[in-house]
Amino acid sequence: MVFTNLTKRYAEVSNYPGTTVDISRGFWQGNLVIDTPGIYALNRSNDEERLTETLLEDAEVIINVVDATGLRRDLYLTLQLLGRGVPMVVLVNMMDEVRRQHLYLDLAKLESLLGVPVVAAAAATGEGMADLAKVVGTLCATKKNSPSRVQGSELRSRANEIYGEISASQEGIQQLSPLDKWLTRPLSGIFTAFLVLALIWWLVAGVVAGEVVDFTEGIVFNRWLLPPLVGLLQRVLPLGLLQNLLIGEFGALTMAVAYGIGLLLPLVFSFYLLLSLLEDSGYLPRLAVLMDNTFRPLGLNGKSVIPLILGFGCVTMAVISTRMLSTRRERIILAFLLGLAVPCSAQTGVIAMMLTTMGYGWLALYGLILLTVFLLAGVILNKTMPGRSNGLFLELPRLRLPRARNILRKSWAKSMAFLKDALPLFALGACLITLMEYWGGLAALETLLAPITHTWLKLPSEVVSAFIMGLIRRDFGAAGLLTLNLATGQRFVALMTMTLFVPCIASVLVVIKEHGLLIGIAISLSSLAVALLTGGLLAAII
Amino acid sequence: MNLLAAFPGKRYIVLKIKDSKVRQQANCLGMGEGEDVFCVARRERGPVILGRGGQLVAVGGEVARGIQIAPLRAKRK
Repeated sequence: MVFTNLTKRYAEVSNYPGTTVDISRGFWQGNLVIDTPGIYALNRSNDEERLTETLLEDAEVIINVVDATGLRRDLYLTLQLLGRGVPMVVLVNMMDEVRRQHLYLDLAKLESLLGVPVVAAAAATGEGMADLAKVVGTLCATKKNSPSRVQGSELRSRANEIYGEISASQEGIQQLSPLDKWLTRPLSGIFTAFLVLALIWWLVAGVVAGEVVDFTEGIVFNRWLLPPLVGLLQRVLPLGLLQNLLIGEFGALTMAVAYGIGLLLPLVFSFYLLLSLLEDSGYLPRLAVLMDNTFRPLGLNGKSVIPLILGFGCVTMAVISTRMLSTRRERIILAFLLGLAVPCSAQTGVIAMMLTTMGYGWLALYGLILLTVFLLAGVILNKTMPGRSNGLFLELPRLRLPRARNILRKSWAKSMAFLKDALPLFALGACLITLMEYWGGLAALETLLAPITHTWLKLPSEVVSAFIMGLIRRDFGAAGLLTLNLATGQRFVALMTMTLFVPCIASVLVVIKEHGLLIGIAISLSSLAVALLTGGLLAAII
Repeated sequence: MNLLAAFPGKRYIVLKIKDSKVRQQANCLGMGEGEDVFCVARRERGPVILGRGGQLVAVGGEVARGIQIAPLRAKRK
């Protein structure tokens, strides 16, 4: 939030440790400002700490943002940063919270004990930003300080000493708030989790997929925008391939743009809005506590629930956020499970639309099968992968009321990122299918894949075009199923197969970047195999 | 005794943390060896929620088993 205040550029902020796993850059008063990942120490023990160390090598001024309500914890890193001798200002953020809790911090004393400027701030309200500007202006003209001599094991005891000298409040008995107790106790916690999921489902599948998409796709695109545009292009463009590519059955405008903006964007935006509420309230770490024992047989700990829930927004982003897990083994297991059995927001939106019209029995069966596949895959991976996973050790941030401004900015930024990422791929997929159809390749492929689609999955051969779209992005493939005339059982088989189908290209690329080509290929091929196996078995039973 | 035997509402001193990564993390958060912590909540097989200076940390069952603690007696006036 300090970074956003200074540079007017949005950097993602959430209420749990490990939100920022990448860096953000912006300019402030002509100087480059880099927002490093949130860390508690410089021990080179994870990627975020190593990245921050590298960035510090070229830093001219350090703005060390500490949390006033967790100052004792944060002073450890402050002392480590002092050890680097780079001109530094300590920005004590969240002072509004300190005043609200009637705590007392002697910041003048802190300044004299640390030997660097200290500024009181509340970034959410903009308090202290003008003072910070003045101090940084002065520091830019300063030469390197002599490094602090506090090192190693002395750091923690010195941090405690400093905190003891500047804080007047005595530590009393700590208790969980009634809401914390409610959320972390098994019965009430699971009840709340189901309630939250049901509410999300009702809002996305009922309200947005029904009312909002009816308007954006049905009226805005299909009634207001596309008919005049198609009419105009039919007059201007010659009949043939070019017309087909833009406004044909699988045209870039009539299909890719209409699906991407008219159908998927409202679903994605609403999903991000709800996920941001969960993220910013501090609920996700409580869910991690609740789910810790459930995740152990899968070789994961409760912390995995955070990337998993984020996966329902965007699987690609969730794979990146698996960096918060401490071992490579856990990160690979979770990346596999995300790629296999977690549909992203756009896909969930389309699936929700289709399942709601089919009835709640199909919805329950869908959830049950997906959960079974998820658990089975997790157990098998845990049993077969070498090494061992780490247990849970997770800081629980305070529960707080999310700020509407941050929720809206975050949801908007993520939705725009979705469009930027997905629209070109949608257009590419639509062009590919149009070209195949134009040159007769689609019919040949339908014949070639008939043993799988027709014999094994018992689906009509037209489903091949949806699966080709699904190869590019699963949500695009799921949207392609909407237009096909399928019986209820066939629709369910197609939906289930598409849900478990290969992860989208962007996710696979991120997996390759994080874990290598072999793991990327293994995840894609295994997902394909599981999808076809599950789909075929269901087709035989239903 | 290990952390899984802690009673909610009681204060303890952390004697030893078996896992080196957890030891480092706990030290950064001010809950390392030699520090005193509150047991805020505990489930039989974990997690245990520890508190210190307004911060809360959830410790999974397996990790908690590797943390040795001792009750911290209140000083008599």
